[in-house]
Amino acid sequence: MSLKFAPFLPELLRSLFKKPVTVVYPFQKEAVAAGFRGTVVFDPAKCIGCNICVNDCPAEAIDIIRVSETEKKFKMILHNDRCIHCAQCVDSCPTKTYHMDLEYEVAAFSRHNLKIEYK
Amino acid sequence: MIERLVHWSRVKSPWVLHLNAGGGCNGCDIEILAALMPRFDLERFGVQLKGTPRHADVMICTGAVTLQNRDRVLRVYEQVPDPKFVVAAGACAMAGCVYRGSYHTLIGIDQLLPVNAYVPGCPFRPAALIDAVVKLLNSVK
Amino acid sequence: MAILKPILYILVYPGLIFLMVYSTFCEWFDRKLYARMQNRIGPLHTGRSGILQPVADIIKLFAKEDIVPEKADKHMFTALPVFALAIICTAALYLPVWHYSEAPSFISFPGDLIVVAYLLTLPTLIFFLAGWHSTNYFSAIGGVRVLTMLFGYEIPLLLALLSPAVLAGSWRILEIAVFFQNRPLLMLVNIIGFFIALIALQAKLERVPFDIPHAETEIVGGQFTEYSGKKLAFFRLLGDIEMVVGAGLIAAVFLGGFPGGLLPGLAWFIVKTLFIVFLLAAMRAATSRIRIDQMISFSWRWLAPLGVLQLFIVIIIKGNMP
Ligand code: SF4
Ligand code: SF4
Ligand code: SF4
Repeated sequence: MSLKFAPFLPELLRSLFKKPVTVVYPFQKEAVAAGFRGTVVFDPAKCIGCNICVNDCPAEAIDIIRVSETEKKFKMILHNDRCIHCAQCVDSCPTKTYHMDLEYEVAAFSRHNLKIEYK
Repeated sequence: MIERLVHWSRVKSPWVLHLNAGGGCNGCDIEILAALMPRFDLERFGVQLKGTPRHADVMICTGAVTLQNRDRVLRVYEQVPDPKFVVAAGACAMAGCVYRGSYHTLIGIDQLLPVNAYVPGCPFRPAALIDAVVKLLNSVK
Repeated sequence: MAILKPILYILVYPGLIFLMVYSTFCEWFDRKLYARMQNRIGPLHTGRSGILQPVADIIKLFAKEDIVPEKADKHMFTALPVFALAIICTAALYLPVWHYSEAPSFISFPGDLIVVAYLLTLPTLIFFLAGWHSTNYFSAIGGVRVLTMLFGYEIPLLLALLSPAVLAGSWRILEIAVFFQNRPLLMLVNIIGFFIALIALQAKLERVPFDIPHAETEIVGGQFTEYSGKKLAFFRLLGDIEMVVGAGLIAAVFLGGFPGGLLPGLAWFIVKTLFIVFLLAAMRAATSRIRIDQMISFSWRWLAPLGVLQLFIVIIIKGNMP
């Protein structure tokens, strides 16, 4: 058995007088890296209602609903509680209807508040 | 006066129990640990990670509840002394994630326990968990 | 007036009130140092830089639901935390902080070193009983580990405390302290014993690397697995006060005590105990948990022989002292 702690002592003393690495998070926002997959955003003007995204989404998180019988207008309901932020919908959509923003502070007290409706 | 003191102490000292409900890939568990590590340091808010449910105030649940684990999760929840809070962290605990529709998991831990806060993400960022904990503590009456 | 002084002594300083306040402060100091050594911030938002964090923890525990397991022995389960706290507060009274009279009195008499060492051992036994009476497997394993560890560190601790007592030729803490105040250079003789006592104190407080009895990753919560609410608060307070008393004992025996009456004595007490808490925190930050067999073999292979060596050195020096 080796109870080595001599090698660690200089490191400990150095950290004791150094500025800590901690980000005081809620008061000092952390920059999110480019390409971070936050919340899915839907653009109703572009959707043609082909339902590819609904079939491709691995987490059953998308509902596409036709809002009018005569026009090609669709609304989308995103179940953010199920979404796994995989960006499969962004890749699959033929008309580039989706993109993902950098928002991650979306914690809620109820699952209904996590449902997002785009129309 | 006493009530305000008790409320203050409750908000300032949430001890957490980390419970993996069975299913899930452990990604969320690692993010919880990341939130406790020096970079984010949840101890700033007085959070301490406890091993036993008897010491805990906040139960952070990750992973989908498997049917085999259902009774155990319930038992652990009942062992936490009042007042207690449950945070469902990650898509698995919230809604089953990619295990949705599997023959042996529940779709979300709120089928089983009352849940106080949901943290979306798969896995969530450590900052998102801290955000949820702070929101929860601010809402405690 | 004559009756007032003992009452003040027991209730205010260094009795209950001072102990409660100072031990929570020590816990904060320890946690903050530990966090800073790990490059973190530590408690921050409770009071000024988190100084009220231990107080908040304890008030919260007092306000929480208190569960007694159905199969546990109710009377023992409830009584043990109170007993342990009372015992450790009694031990604190024997620290030579205030009564600076040379004549023996109820808090300072020949042999009080043994009494304090004995009183410091009792909480360990109570931890074992607490684990045993919770009738939980994890608690029982934790309790047995507590006892096993006791056999490891208790003998080296007594050997280490023995050497300054032999050097000073007294079993009274006050006289040992006065002896070293008059001859500060002789403190250097006891340097091995000082470190042995520190390591043994760390083991007694069950902190890393000796947190084997309540190792969270193996046995959930050890002997405290079933404790919640008020009783857990008592045990936490007990741990903090034990740290203060242990640090005070080591400071009194090895570092020359707390000279100068009431206020300078208080200042010395705070400086010396905080120094020892600093060493304990550094030890906690630099190591990780070892196994129980490693702990036992470490204390019997290294600590006990070194303690005997220390005793020999002291005896030789004592023989050649004018
Ligand atoms: S990001 Fe993935 S899970 Fe979320 S809606 Fe798009 S396809 Fe579904
Ligand atoms: S894949 Fe694109 S166009 Fe097709 S339904 Fe989905 S959003 Fe609309
Ligand atoms: S939510 Fe995603 S990352 Fe978290 S456990 Fe489930 S699958 Fe893993």
